[in-house]
Amino acid sequence: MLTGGYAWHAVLSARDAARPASRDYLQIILDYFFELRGDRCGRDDPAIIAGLGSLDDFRVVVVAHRKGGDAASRAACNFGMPQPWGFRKAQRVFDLAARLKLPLLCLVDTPGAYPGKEAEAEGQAWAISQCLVALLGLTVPIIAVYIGEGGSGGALALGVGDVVLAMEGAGLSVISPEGCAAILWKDSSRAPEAASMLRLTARDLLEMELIDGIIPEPRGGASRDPRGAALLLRDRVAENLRWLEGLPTEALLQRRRSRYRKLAFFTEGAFIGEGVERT
Amino acid sequence: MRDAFGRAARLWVGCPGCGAFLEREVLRRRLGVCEICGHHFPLEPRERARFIFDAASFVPREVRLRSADPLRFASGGYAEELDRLDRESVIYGTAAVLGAPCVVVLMDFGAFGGSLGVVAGELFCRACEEAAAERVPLLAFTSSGGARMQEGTPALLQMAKTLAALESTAGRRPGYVALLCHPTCGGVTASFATAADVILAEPGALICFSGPRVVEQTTGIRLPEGFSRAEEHLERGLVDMVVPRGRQREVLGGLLAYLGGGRSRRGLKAPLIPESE
Ligand SMILES: [Zn+2]
Repeated sequence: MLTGGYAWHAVLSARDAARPASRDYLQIILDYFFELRGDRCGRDDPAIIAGLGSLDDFRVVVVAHRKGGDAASRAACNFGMPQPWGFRKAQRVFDLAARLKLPLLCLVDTPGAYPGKEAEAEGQAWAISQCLVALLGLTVPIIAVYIGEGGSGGALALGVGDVVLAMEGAGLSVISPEGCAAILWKDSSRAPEAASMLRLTARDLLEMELIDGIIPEPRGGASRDPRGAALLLRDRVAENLRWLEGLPTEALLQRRRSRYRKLAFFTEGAFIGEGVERT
Repeated sequence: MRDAFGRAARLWVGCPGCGAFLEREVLRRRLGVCEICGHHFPLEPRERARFIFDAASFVPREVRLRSADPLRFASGGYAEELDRLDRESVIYGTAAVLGAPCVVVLMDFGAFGGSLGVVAGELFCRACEEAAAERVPLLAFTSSGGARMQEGTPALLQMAKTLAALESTAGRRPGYVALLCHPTCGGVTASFATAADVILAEPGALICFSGPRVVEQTTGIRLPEGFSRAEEHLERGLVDMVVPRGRQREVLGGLLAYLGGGRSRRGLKAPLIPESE
């Protein structure tokens, strides 16, 4: 096996244009959809798709990154990289879910928040932190599913919830493997190595207990059988909506926040620098 | 000659703002601000603490935590780097400004680029909870390159973790003030730095999600001078005030006294409401 073989393969397949995007999933898993547009402050970002949907017996509010299908629509959606007004649109729809007392379903699939001039000037960081704050305080159940690329803060802004799942071929990373390789070795062609070091695949995320479960994909991956993948996703979402429905709001919020607060990955009582002999 | 030159380099420093050579000792006395152009040099947490807090009021918490190196990040030699580090990127403790008590978080850009890792995230949360328990405002000085790459997705999730702590303590904590220092980038800007109730910034501080170099490389656009700096963010309504170091004690003292809601009015001054600029 090549160095970084499995992880790099996962990265490439998560980026594969043939892989079903959020629109493909929604088209199959929902029986009804009404698209909600705009941030209510004068802008609409096609890199975020939001709306009112119904899934099995449930009404759900949906927010997802949107990558587009063919070349033209992918460009129109900025390849799924939201601008600040995309995150503000997401946030206003999160809040709408709470007002309507409907659960929220988020599908995550983005290379990252767009690193543009206007994006920075209009407060990309502010827009992302406000999304996260909204999700951590939302009074309705949230299911987040990582379906493809999980690029850093721009992915996390839609990827925090009570139940967090990942499709088998999806991932979440603090930095792209190319970016990591460029920092470590000044050589982005070593991305495959960096990919395996970053532990970014769904398997890694489950092993580190950062997600609750993996949704298996049909043989050959979701690109081979988008419908099969979508139906597996729908069943897992429905199953989780059922039990989340019964939780009182206070318990739900407390559970969600402590899930993140409790992340550890450190040892108590030891200190940095203690590997060094002191003279 | 060499000796004299070496000593000169230690005594003098060039100002990136105006190019002038400044005497280190004078610069230190002027809180790291260039007397000619007003450029704010980076400050170490201890120096900052010395000039912001009331004498002997700063009591840092001695917390012994060590990152478990969640990725077992081999190629960077991260474990050895951790061994060599003598401090983490976040320290916190209790302090007072003009008599107003607070719990303070100070980020240290000199420690691993101020990066937000699993230990820094935990320390921020503990500070937050201590502020809630003591019923005093939280004050944070941020300076960070973003989430710590060597700790991967667990580091990324510190964004959600720190905000979860802020959210769960929101009702018990009397306010949270962040003062964004140069540079505050990436995952720190996109989490607790911009989630404060009052957001202040130091003059000239770069505050961004993606850094100017990344933006230029991605878009091919040359960015103008002053892009993503504190002053531009003030103009766009993203921060409440740009506060030069010389005024930080007075401004923070007033805000903390106000938010703390105690009976002490020492930090509060008569209103000075400017006409529209
Ligand atoms: Zn100067």
